[in-house]
Amino acid sequence: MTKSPSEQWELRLYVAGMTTTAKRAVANIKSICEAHLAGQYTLDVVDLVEHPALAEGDQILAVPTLVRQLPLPLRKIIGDLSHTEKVLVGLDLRGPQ
Amino acid sequence: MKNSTARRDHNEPGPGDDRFEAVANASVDGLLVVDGAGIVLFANPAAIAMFSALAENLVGFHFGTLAVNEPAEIQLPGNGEMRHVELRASALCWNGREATLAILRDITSRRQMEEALRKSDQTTRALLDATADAAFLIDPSGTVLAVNEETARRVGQEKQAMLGRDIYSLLPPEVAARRRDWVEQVVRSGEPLVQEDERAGTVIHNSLFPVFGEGGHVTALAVYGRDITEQRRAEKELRESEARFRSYVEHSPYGVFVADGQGRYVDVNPAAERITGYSAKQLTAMRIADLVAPESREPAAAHFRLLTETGEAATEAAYVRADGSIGHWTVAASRIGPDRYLGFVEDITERKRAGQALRESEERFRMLIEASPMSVMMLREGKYTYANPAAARLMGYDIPEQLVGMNALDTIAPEHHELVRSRMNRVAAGEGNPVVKLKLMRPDGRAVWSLSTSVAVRIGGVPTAIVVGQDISPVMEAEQKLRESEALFHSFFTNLCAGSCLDEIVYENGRAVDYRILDVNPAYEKIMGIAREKAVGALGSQVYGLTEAPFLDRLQRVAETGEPQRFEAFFEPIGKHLDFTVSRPSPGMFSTVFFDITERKQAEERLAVSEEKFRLAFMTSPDSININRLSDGLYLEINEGFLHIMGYKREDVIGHTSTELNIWKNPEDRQKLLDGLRADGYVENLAAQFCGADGAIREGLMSACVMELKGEPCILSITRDITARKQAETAKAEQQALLEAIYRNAPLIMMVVDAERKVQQINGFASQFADRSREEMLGLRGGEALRCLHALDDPRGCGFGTFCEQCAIRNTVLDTLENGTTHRQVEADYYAQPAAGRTSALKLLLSCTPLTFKGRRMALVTMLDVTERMILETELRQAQKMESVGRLAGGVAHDFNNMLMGIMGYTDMCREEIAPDHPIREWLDEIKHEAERSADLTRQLLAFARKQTIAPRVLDLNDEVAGMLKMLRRLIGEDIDLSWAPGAGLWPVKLDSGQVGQILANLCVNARDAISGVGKVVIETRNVEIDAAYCAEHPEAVSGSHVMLAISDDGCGMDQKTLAQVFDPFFTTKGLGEGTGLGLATVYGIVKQNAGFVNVHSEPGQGATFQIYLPRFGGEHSGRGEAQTTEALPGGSGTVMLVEDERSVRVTTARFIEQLGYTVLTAETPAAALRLAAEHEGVIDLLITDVVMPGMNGRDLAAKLAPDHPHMKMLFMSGYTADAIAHRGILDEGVHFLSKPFTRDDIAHKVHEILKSTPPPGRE
Repeated sequence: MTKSPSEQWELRLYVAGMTTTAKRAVANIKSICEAHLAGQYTLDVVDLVEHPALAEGDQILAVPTLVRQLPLPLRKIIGDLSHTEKVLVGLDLRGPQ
Repeated sequence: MKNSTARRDHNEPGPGDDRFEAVANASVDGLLVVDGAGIVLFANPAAIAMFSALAENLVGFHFGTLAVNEPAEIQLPGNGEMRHVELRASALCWNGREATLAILRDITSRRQMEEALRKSDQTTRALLDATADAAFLIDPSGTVLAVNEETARRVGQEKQAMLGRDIYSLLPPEVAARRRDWVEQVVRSGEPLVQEDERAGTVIHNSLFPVFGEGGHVTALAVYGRDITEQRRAEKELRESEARFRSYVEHSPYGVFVADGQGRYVDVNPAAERITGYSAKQLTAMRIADLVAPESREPAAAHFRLLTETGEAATEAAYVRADGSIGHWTVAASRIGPDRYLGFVEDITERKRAGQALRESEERFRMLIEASPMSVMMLREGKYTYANPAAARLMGYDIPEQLVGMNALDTIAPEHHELVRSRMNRVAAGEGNPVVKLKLMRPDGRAVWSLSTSVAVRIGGVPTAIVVGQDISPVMEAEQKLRESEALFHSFFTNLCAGSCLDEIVYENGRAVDYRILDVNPAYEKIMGIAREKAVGALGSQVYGLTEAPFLDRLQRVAETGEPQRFEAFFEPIGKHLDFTVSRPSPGMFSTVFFDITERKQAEERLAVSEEKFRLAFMTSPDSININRLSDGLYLEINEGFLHIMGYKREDVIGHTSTELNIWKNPEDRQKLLDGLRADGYVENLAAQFCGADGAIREGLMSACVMELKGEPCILSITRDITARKQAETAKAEQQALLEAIYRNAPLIMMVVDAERKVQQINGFASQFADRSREEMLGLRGGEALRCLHALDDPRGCGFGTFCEQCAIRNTVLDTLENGTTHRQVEADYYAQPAAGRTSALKLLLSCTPLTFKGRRMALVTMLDVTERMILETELRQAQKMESVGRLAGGVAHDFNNMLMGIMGYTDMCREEIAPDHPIREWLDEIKHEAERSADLTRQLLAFARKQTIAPRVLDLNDEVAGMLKMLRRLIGEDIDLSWAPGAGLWPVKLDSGQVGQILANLCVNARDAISGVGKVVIETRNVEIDAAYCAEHPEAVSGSHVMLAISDDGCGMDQKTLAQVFDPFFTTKGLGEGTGLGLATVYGIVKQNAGFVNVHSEPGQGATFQIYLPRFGGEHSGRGEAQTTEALPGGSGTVMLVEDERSVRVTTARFIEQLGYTVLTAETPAAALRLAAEHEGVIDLLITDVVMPGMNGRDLAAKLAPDHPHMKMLFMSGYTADAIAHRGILDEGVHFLSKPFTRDDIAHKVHEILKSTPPPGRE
């Protein structure tokens, strides 16, 4: 575990329309956050169909993409986030085994 | 080849790279290698193409960690177009680092195709009611009435050929039986039925809907069959395939083997065969333990435990060769994957044997060691005590001495510290160490690999290790790269969902004849359905079962030119559409990557079919169909039906709105449409009026729905033109109203009677006619309903009475009912039951025509009461008859009277010339009498023809009658009593008194003749006031004050028929020669001439009453200066001029006047008269002239003579009155007239009277 107890996490999940993949990604990240970051994270779901311009800021190539905006450095995770292990490693919540 | 360049920057290409390159570049799937931090390490062209809009160079781009388990769909936003990509991720090692391989498959077109298909299907369904299903219409017996393409396709028939056929004959027997049960169930229940059945693995969802005809019976069934077989999901594309491990170890000097967790050999290299003496085939059937010598079993087991725990182990052990000899080897093993271990074996048998000699010659070898390319070092208590120059080179030092005293672990990579420590311990225990690959750290930080072994020796009692090493860095690097490449290759070769195979062209006599399959991946097996074992090593023609290997020409070209090819083709052997990408890994070979696009092709075809169906339905529909954009209402598309119905040209409509074209007659209809679409998304059967191009209003029923066309929401409207129907309805209603009005208002009896002549329908006029309600009449027979007199004979009426057989009405109706004949305007007599104030005998005009009413054959009977018309016609005929007789009489009378005048004149002259007792005198009297009768006859003819010249005077009728009573009594004889009942205070009438005599004489003679024997005749007079009511019943009557003269008798009376003809001239009931038939006609004529009228009442046996009504005279009562004398003829003197063209009249008249004492000047013609008057010198006192003469009439002659003879008086004589002297036969007062024939007495009195009187006033 590399997170420190006082850190506030800011996560942003980019999707394009509430497709099945997008719904699955939202469900997966929520359960991961509740398990590991309860009470110290904010999750912002951005629908690029409604706000296409927002994709440019974080250079989103594919959706769903989860972006860890805080703490720095910026991290990106692509996919439906079903591979919990990869998500935890990608978010730096657990070092590689 | 930007990507490959990028990759080469980090790594030199190693063995296997070319194939990876070829496949990666050829792959239509995007391949991305991403490291743990989400940075892109590698991207193939397909991946770059997918992201080209987003990033120029993907390598180094922060893409993101991939976190998917199963293949998942992700989307790539960019340039406004969202691409759908299927992502598979698998772990791999890239340049020694953990990385993830992402395989990206662009499924956008599939998704778009699916979406397009879905929308297209939706639209078509809206139009064609489920055209994607098999849909057909059958009648209850199973005959096909209608069918769609899908049904025809499923049954395997032409659509047209199915029509009219028995549906069951088209189905397999057991299916037909089941369908027949369903159909019967629907026909019986009238309820829709839903059933599913499975046949040949296909599940069909069947819906049967009853179609009801008139009477609520099921006349047809609409059947829909929907294929709901779930598309079999593709089986998991990725299967664990056994990694085929290819190794450089084939060339290794060491025995190299791969074993599994159970110690079974999986693969061995030739060196291992050499060392063990077993063949590779034998070895792969053996376990490692089988080779271990009994004394080494313990260490071998320990070695294996260590290996499974740490992944690394090295042991020296004794083994048994194939030939049974014992050998020694060192084994160094490491784990290379789950359940896979790689072992290096070195045969140290010989070395062990030579160990002793080696020690002894240590010194000798020292020099050798110094010069050895192998590094040799001595190690005691963890520190180097010796190193040869090769060791210094290996370790990165300039001279060996630098190494001496160094802690050995400082030169070893940290990860090998533990290994080295254990080896040092073993040395301390006096044991040697097997060959191991050690990673050494040079002072410059670079790592080098050494294949190292150590031997334990005791030098000075201290255990010392002699370590021999060989720099194997280049080998290791190559090995590493090979492993990575191999793993990478396998990773996508096996994971690729696309099929892939590697082939080489087979030449025969320099000509390519076939190709051999060298390798295939699991997807190949799956797509082709061909097992790897069958494919690999076989020829293309054999594998695919064809005489020539498929696509040989193209594949040969790729293999020879190296130019990659991509093509889509239908691959016959497996019946699938495939997308092939072919590239050349090396000359003479080709690698093929292909994937199954059958579904996409089918979807494309289905889409094309669906769109064609829509297009056809759109274009051919007779209804008006238009598509408007929802946002602005512009017409996007319209069909022929629209143009035809609305009369527009296409270019006038497309791009305009309905508001611009003013198509809606009532804008609120358009609002209704929009409201409906907004609320429900569709509108059905909206009745509205539309204005066509010519301004004509068209009635339409509009249905519309919202659909999507090219991504835009549109309104699809279908309008049925019901104008003609509406017009027809209106016309029908108008026609109905017209007929209704005619039926209600026509002054005609109209009724419909059935075969029994009972009234089924009857109109208001009939109700009025019969004076009973229509309801009362319905069901009665016609005669009874209309109160036929004969219906009284038999209450059943019409056809049951004795008179009915002759009844024209009944016979006509019967003929129509029985023979269907139409009768028009048949005259019929009808006798109604007596009712107050009504004539009971009627004339009817009957029309009768057959018609079907209430489904039965009936007759429409119309009857027009023409009784009055017939009466009027009779009267008219009577008048015309009188007129013609009158004309005849008038024409004859003139000459006839002249002749009678001559006869009478000459007879008078004869009588004067002979003695009174002369025997001939009696005869002369007879001649005169007959001449007088002839004159009477002529007069009567003129009288009834109203051509008689009369001189009416105002007179009292009572005086006239009283004066004639004597004469009348004589006329009727003594047996008949004549009573005279004069009315008191009788009004005057204006009448010629002679005519009164004619009336009385004729009527009395008529009465006398009606009485046989004794009887009574009554003459009475009375004042009568005729009112309008009386006139209404008596068409001849005139209202006002009248004086009535009635003559009644109690004779035989007359029947109706006689009564009707009583006034006809020449009609008589008397025998031939007894009567002239002119008597009553004369009476009628006189009365009519004097503006009166006659009524006759008579019944057979009841006598008759003739009532004559003469209008009351309302003017001055001019005195009556008559002095009727019967004395001797008055004579006189004076000059009289007589003008007469008829010689006998002229001669006799002149003689009479001369005998009276007058001087007579006679002239034959008016011209002669004028001449004579002019020559005559004396006075002419009187001009007596004929009225009708050739050249000039009497009146004009008188007028010419008057100026010269102002005191000359005039007397006109004529046998017939022309208008010359009288108006309508009535003389002006003061005009003297003598009608021919006249007697000597007549002329004597007249001349005397004239010359005695004062000159006539007012003449000229």
